[in-house]
Amino acid sequence: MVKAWDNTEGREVAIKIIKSKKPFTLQARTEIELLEQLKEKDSGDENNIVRLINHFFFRGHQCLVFEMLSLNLYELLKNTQFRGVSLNLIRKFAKQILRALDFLSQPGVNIIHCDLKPENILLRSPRRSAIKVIDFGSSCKSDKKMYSYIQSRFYRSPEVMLGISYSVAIDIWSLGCILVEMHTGEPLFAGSEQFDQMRKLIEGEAEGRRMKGGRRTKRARPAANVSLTDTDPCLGSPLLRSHPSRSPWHDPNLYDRKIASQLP
Amino acid sequence: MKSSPPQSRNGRSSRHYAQMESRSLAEIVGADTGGPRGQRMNEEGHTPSHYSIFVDLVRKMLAYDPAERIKPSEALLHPFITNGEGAVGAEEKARRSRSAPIGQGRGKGEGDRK
Repeated sequence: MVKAWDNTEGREVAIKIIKSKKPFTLQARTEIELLEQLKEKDSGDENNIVRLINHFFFRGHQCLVFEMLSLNLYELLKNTQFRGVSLNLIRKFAKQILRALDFLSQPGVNIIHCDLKPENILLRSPRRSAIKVIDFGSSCKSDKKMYSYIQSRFYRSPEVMLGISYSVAIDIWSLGCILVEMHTGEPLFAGSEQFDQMRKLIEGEAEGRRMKGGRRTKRARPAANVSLTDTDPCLGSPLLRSHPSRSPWHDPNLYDRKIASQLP
Repeated sequence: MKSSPPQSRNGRSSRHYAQMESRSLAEIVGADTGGPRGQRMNEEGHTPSHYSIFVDLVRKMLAYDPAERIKPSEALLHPFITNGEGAVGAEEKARRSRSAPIGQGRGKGEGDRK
């Protein structure tokens, strides 16, 4: 990404310069298509999604010109020395992100972001709570999914880990993780690799079960009520059985970029 | 305790997992103990009641079964988001008094709940 000055309109813009290799250029094509569709369906710019202003080729590099935005939520968290932000501010962020996800999940739009995380949610200006969701570089239409290994690890949903069918619901999972992290300053499920990530999710489930029989007997059944045991319908699904290579323990570590910078 | 490689896990070490400390979401956010590391103690908008509403929304977002996970349109009507504003907020508040948010557990903050 580079910061640039748009001479014709007299404004700052952010330009994403894509590597001049074919797979990256092709991926960027998809991103441009999705962004243009989003722009068309959201002509009033009301759904908190980054605007693609223009795109062009320069010396073999596909370039995408975006509106200029400010800090991302990870940088904001860093500015609090990882103490976290208030529930009131989290409410403001959550509302706007939900609005974006609601828009994306509408039948006429039908786009899965696939990489929702604090780094991809940006403040519009440094001292205001207005945000925008960015980076549709891994996104897809929900009826035209390209990859099975998607999402950054800390924010990866159980169905993606298991390699089974996924939907717009994976973005809501990521949002749940993000909201907690924004308050505590630490990732909710900070798995060191995919196996560890899965273990952390299962521990959460074990904790819920123990509480039912333990001292917290008044506690209602946890919302996360599908246990990931070997009797689980997900693990027993024909889809998973017919794709042994999609075992949850197999992680090509795609999309684990930037994770190192998040470790304390 | 955390650092041995996952590939070596077997039946024996699954017991080892069970011994590892796991905390409930309410504990992670410090719902009854003044927020994370107690740093929101007595801060406006951070009572156990506020926390229980927040935890309720997050739990619904983290439903393992994607079919049961809350939809964005439903979440926009959740009391954490509406925060008692407008007609929708009032309706949600009434509904909340009938079904206490899950994730609080201890019944300690129940009295605060309107």
